[in-house]
Amino acid sequence: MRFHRKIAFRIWLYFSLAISLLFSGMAWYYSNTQRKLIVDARGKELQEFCRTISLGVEISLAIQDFDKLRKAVDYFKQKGGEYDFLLLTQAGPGQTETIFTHLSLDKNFQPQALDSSQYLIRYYHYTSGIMSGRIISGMAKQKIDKQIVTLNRPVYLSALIMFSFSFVLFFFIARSISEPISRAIGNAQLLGQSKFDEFSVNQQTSSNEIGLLEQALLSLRGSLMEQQATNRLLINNLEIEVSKRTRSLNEALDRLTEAQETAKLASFTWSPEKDKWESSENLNGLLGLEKNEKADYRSVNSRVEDSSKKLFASMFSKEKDKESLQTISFNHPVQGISWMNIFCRYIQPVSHDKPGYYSGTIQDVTQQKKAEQELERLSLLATNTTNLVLFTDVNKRILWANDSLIKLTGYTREEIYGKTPRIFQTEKTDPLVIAEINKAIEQKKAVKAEVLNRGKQGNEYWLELYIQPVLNRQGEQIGYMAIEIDITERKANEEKEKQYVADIKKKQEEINTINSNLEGLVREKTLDLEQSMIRLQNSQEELVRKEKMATLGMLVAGIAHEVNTPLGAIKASAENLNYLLKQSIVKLVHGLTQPDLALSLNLLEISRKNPKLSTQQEREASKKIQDFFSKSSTPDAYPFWLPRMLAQMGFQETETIPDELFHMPQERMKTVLGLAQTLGGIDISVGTIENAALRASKIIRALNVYSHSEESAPHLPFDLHDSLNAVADLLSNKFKQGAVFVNNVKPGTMVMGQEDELSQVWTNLINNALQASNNKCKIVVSATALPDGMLSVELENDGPPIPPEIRERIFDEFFTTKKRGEGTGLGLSIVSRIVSRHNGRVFCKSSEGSTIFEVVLPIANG
Amino acid sequence: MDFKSFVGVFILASCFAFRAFAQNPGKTEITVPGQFVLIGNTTGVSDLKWKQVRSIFKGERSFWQNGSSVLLVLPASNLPVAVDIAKQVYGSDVAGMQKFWLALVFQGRGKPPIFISSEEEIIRFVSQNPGAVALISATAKNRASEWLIPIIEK
Repeated sequence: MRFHRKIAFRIWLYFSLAISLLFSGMAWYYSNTQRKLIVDARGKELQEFCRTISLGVEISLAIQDFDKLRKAVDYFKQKGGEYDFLLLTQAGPGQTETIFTHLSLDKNFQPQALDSSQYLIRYYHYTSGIMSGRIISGMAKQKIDKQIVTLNRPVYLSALIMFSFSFVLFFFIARSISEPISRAIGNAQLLGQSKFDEFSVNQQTSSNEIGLLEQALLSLRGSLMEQQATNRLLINNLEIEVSKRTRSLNEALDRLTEAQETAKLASFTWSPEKDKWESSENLNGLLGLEKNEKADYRSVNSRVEDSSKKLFASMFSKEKDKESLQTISFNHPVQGISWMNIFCRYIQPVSHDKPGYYSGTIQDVTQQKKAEQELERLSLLATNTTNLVLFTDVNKRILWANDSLIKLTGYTREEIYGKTPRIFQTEKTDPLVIAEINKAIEQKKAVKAEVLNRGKQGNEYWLELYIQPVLNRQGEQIGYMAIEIDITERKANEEKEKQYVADIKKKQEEINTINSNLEGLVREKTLDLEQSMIRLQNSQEELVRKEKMATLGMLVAGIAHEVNTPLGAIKASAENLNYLLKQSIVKLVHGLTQPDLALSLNLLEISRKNPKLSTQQEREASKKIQDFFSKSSTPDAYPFWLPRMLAQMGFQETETIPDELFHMPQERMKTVLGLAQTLGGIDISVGTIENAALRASKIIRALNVYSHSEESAPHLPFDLHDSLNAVADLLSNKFKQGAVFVNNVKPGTMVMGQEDELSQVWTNLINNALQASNNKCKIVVSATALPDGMLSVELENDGPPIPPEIRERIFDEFFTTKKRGEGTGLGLSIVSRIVSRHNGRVFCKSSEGSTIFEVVLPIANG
Repeated sequence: MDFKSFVGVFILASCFAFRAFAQNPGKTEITVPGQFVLIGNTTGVSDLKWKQVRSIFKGERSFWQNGSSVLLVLPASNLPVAVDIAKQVYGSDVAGMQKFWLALVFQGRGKPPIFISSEEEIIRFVSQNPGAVALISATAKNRASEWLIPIIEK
């Protein structure tokens, strides 16, 4: 009964809660929707009203009919305060919107203090030619809320009524259905506990679902009672069968355990969820765990060697539907490193109570693994050694060959397996060696030999063989093993070595023969060389002399010309003098009075100061004097020849001429002028002779200086300025062809040395510059004192530059750029030698438009 | 026309003239220096001061002394006289005059005037509506002297 009330209360409570939640939700939803609809409706209503007012304003301003606006405003008033305010704003383009006027029934309404959060506000724009802005209207949200509350009140009330009704209704429903349900639950529990006798049977079952449930339970009770009787019978039979099978299983388990121990095999299961490791008894022994130690993942993993930990973990974490078999290395506390083959498979969970687990076996394969490793090492050794390894059976048929042999012979394994090593032999293979090998094999002895074999491609190679019989554990011969070393290169080297020794012996003999002949030859050649050296020195001295003579010859040509010119002038002047003295003077002096002679001498003196006029100038002066005479008061007093004679004497005007000349008779005038003119001619001729003689004397002196050069002459101070000028005089005929010589060395610049030798230096340098420029260059000489007591003399010319590639060779003997026959190639080498003898040095620098030879010489002290 | 007829017509004309004079006794038309005059129908006033006229046309008076409603009539903005009226009465231009009435009507504080776009129509409207009062130009045609309300001082 108590149970029945408990169910009834629970049903009633659940239903009541559900209904109350339903009605509360409905009421909330309805009121919320209602509020939204009302706010929307009132907003639209307000906006429509704003639009009406806006139209009224636009009409008022457009057609000056204020009636519509007035009616709209009346409507606002008639609403009796439902709308709280009406604003008319004004805003021009680019202006801030301002309130133009407003309307409110509330006298205290302040539009400027409007709080928009308290009002539902809508607006509408108006525009007219006069003004534009917005009509804004609003109503207090509080009024809307009141309206909503009024509307929602019946909703809440009806929800409350319905909830109350449902509350009562479900009380009775719960009460009526709780009794049969509680009985059905009780019966079901009894069936579950197999207490069929205590089953409660209701005689008046109803035809509804609960009644059907009671009937079904009753029917189930009958079936279960029958099943129970059958089961008891079966259980008895099963118990007998189980005891039999348990016995046989135990026996099988014993055998299995024994087999596992023999095979060092253990089985295990491991559940990841529970980390429960169940295994056969020998697992701890295999893994080196303590006998009573509980095996779990952590303890097993602790035995796994570091290198295998990752692999071990992957076995228990990979996809669970796969099997895996891995060899894992363990650290066994006694045996050391041991290898276990672990086979593992994940068993899927059957139910929530029975989670999935791993099941598998662990087998100790350490011995097998070690044997495999040993085998692998041996295999690697035989395969990878550079030596050739070959196994044959007792009949010498090849069973195995390593890679080196395959590579050297060029055969494939298929081609040689099953055949004898004879396949490698050639006709050159020494039969005696083969026979020796065969004999040793027959006697089952090890043998060492060197043989020549041939590969598949015909390549021959030498091998050093070590052949020995192979015995099994029982001592029976199972074949032969040959280790072969490729000694082809060694053999080739040995051959070469032999050849070298023979060659060397032969060469040694030849050398000995040559040596004996060579000594005689050397003596002869030494004698020849000494004689050649003497000849060479002689030739060099001869060449230097020739060069000097060549320079001299070149100078002589110029000097001859130079001397010839003043001699010609002297000759002409002398002839002129002769004529004047013989012809003119005698005639003119005859009958000349003392005053006329004085006047002639006076005119001669004046005419000497006159400049020498050219023919053209003479004509112009004559014409000018003629004009002067013709303009005078007595033009006839002046004879026609007078202007010409005066012009010939260098007169260009009459002012400097003594007046007494013009007042004498024409015959006397002619005589006086003629005498003056003749005396002037004599004066000029004498001056010319004097100058020509001076010039010739100068050249002779320069030649004298040049020709008196001696190496052994003492070094004396001399004037560099004069020395350079003397050389320039010697070469003056070349300078007349367009070359210019500028001597910037100050007079009195004294140099210590042999002037004659150094003149040759200047001559060679100046001459080279003139030849290179075809006598068209400008040569400037300057001198600068250096801090070390030397004088730097620079001869600069603007002729063609010396190419850089030959600049270092120009001072070499016999180096010349002139045509064959034009130069000996000794000019600059002589310059270099002379300067060196003066403890000086000479340099050359050349660029476009400037070639400078710098000669550094000692300055004469004092 | 014989003498009798002439006398009869004269007497009839005199009667009409007398009647008109009797209805507006002692009124003298004063032209406001804006070249407009005031006309009214059954207003019960013989004359008005300029201050009173401005007060009336600013909507400050709703009834005449005889109890009839004040019905304001103003020339529409297209008429030249409207500029003078706006200036003299409202102290602004025509737009300012419209804004004035817009504000007043918006606030519900006044009965708006009727704007008419022809002075002849204004005269006709005034003659047909008792209580109506209007300002029209002094040179308006067909203005009957009996509707004039003298403005006696400026």
